[in-house]
Amino acid sequence: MRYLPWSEILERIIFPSFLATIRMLCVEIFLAVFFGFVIAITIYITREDGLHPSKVINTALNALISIIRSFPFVILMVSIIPLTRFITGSSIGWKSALVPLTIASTPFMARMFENSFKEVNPALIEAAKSFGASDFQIIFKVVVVSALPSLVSGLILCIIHVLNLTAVAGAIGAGGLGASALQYGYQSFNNRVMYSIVFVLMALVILIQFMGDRVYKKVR
Amino acid sequence: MIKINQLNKSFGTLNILNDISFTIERGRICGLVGKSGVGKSTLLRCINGLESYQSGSVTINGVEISSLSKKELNSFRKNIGMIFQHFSLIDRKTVYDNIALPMRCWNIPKKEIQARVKELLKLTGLEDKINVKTRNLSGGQKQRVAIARALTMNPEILLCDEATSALDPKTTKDILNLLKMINESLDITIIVVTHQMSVVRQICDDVILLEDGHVVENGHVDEVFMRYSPALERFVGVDELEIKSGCNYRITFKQDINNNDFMSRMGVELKSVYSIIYSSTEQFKENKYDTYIIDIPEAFESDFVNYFRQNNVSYRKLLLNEKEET
Repeated sequence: MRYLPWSEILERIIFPSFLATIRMLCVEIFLAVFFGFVIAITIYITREDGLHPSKVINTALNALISIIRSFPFVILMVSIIPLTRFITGSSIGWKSALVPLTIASTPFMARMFENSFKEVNPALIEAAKSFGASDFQIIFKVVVVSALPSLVSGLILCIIHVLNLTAVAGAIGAGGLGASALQYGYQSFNNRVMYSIVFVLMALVILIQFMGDRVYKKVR
Repeated sequence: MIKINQLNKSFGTLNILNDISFTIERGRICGLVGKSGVGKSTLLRCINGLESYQSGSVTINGVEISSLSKKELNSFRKNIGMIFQHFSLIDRKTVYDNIALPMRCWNIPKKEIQARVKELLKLTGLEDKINVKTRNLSGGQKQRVAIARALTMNPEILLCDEATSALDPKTTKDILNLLKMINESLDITIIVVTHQMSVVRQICDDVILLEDGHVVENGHVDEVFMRYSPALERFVGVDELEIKSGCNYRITFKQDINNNDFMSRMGVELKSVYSIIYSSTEQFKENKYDTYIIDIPEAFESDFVNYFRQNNVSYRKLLLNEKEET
């Protein structure tokens, strides 16, 4: 193992894998927020005292969320390889990693959002009905608006959770910081690389939390 | 005009409202009173379709509420504003945004919204709070915002669900005065659900008393009060007075210049003594009413009763050992 100077570690390992992680994180958060939001809204309006109660849909979605959330991520990732291959045509690479990542984080996101919606005072919904708001308006002009601070803090929690998952996804060739720490650090017996990547991840988490808190304060 | 006819409502096997019928004329302030849990809030929600009902009819200006489709009902609700006990505002939004919300839902142009919000803030006396988040307001101010929001679509009817129950007495008075002013200046029919007799006293023209899901009293406030039926007594009652002996009558009469000496005149004219067991004075809107419980000699009973009749005094004989709530 040849000695790697800092400049090379930064330039050839950390920087590219940092970008790879950020890219994966952004696309993945976008997908998880989208699907998570749709599922959360569906669960919320089909509740027993919701806007359109439907026991079948509600029970089915709740069960689905619980089932997926019970999988350890590593197991989920390998057990859905056929599905991943069907969707992306390959089972390795960052695009392929998006499939298990989305499937694993959407239920988490959905549960988080649903909890935020549940906290919205039902009296507010009644008031909205009393001035003739449609169901769509009740959801988007009242429920989402009132729940926004709580949605933001849930989202921050999810982003950091997903960041962790992307590191694990490195195991199936997703690339990124986690994969590099494993490959160029741990497996190459290079503690400098491994710990510097850990440090970058730490900094990233702190930064996300810090920015999240600022946004939260702003929307409160 | 709101007309309710033989309305029945139940949750599962539990009957909430039984055979409710009454009419409220345009421009009145009507109190819907009763102890908590008698179904008055549910009844109020039947008027704007927030609650459905099993049988009977609720018509507003001739339109049957249960016959409306969801869309028609939403549109119909523009005509009926509603305020709540806990204000139901979006706390993280400003006063402006909260009041503008109904108009935004109805796609009203921004310019009109601005003008209307300003107008309503002037009416409710909150002009300086326009950009304050509602969570930073006091209870009374929050209820003013809620009132402004309820009035945005120029409703004909305003429903108030325990609107003053979470407020202190002074603030309650201010809010009630505001409601009275709105009723007078905008000709809006107001229905107030309350368990506080003081609210009825201050602003109501009519009162409907509910007990166990039935209407047990209905009429002009002073008429109902003059009748002082056992049901009203059960509702108003605070202290208990046990009548142990004698021949006791509860009498009530309106205070005016002609009868402020009624009690002494009665004794002199009937040439009989009596003892006063209890007395109180209550004010309904502008009128004051005196209520006495008197113990009269049995031999003079018919004289007294005739005297009550002649002088337009409402009376009721109290039974011995009856728990008399005063």
